[in-house]
Amino acid sequence: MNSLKCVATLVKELSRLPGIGEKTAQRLAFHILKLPKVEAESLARSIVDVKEKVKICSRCFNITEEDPCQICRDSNRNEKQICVVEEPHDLLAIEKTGIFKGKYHVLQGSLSPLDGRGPDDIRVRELLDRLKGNNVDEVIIATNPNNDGEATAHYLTKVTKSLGVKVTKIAQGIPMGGDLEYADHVTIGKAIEGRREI
Amino acid sequence: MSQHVTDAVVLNSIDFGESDKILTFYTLAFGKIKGIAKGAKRSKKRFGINLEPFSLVRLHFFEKKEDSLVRVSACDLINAFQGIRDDLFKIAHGSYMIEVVEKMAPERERHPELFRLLTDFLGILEERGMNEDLLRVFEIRLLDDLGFRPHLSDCVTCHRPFARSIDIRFSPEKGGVVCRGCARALLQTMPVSMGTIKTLEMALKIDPLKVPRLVFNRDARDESKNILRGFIRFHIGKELKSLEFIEKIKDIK
Repeated sequence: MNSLKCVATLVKELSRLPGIGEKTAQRLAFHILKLPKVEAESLARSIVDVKEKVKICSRCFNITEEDPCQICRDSNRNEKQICVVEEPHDLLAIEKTGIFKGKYHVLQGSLSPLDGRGPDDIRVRELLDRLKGNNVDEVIIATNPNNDGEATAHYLTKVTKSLGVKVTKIAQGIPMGGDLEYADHVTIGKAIEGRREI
Repeated sequence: MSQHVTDAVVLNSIDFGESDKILTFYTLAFGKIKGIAKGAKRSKKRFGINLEPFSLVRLHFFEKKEDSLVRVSACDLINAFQGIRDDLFKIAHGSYMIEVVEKMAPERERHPELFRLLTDFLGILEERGMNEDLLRVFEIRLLDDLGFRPHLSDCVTCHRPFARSIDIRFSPEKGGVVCRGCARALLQTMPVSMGTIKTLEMALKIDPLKVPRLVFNRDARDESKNILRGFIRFHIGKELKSLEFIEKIKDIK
């Protein structure tokens, strides 16, 4: 009976995770039950570890185990370029390309008119403080191409341009492997507008 | 399982699970409906910008008897109102318009005139931008289309006509103007002048093409904002999030 209680608690906890319904939670719980003890312990420890060790970088607001984070400490990266992203996973996506060699600023969210989320609810003030205190040449806005991301980009453009910093935005258009015939006319229009000489 | 096709404006879009989206539409043929677009986050080919708020789309969906959400099978973009997305204040005002419709309109109640009001005003917003007067016209027409037209001709309680502006108050609870005597028995009333009532009556009658030309005087602007916002708040039961947002960015130049 006791063991069933444990399983029920595990199912309940798992089903609180985003995208996990009760059936999926049950399947995961039974999978965990079948795991060797060492693997189950390793999973449990990794959950505890991320809660205990991961913190927010006091400069760029990315998640990190050491403050400042590795990217902020890296003297080989260009301090004069700051790429602004909404969330740490957006930073990871850009880092995977290996192309950007500047620093980052993670807003930890976006402006959202329909959720009533304004500039004081994300890390905008901290970005402006960084721009005032450092010799930054360029701010690259890499917010998501949806309404909230666009609202954030427009807002950042207004407030950072007034500081005399060059503001650029990542290009929008047809993704690699995509088909022009299936792209909507807004995407194609943006791609034409953002064309460049080759 | 029945398949339907109708024109629709996307009012809201929320990520759900790994790759789905839950959407709210205001449709021409069915009024407000909620649906799920399976795999929407994965398939930019199928949906892309078509599921972003403001987009006017031709919506294809089917219904399953046991589900409260319809299944979105395709969305063909008719107008993205891209000009709205290119400006912070247009995004903010457009968000207010779609949020009012989302919160005020009941599900599955067809109001084709409300659909046209919304698409007309999204067009005006995209082309000219929005001002307080236009928002008031939008609000009072929306209330009218949904059957909440404020009673403005005489006292909504005792039906006596008004002799002087000083006698008139507006009651959100009663849904119209009340005389000073009747107002005493009501909890919340707001001052409103004869001039404001005339302006609002004109806002209800004016040809949609001439709407951008309508200009409120200063009193009418302040009073109509107060009474229409109060009336909408009374029906929704809370403040709209988009209004909080507009307040938060109002000092940006």
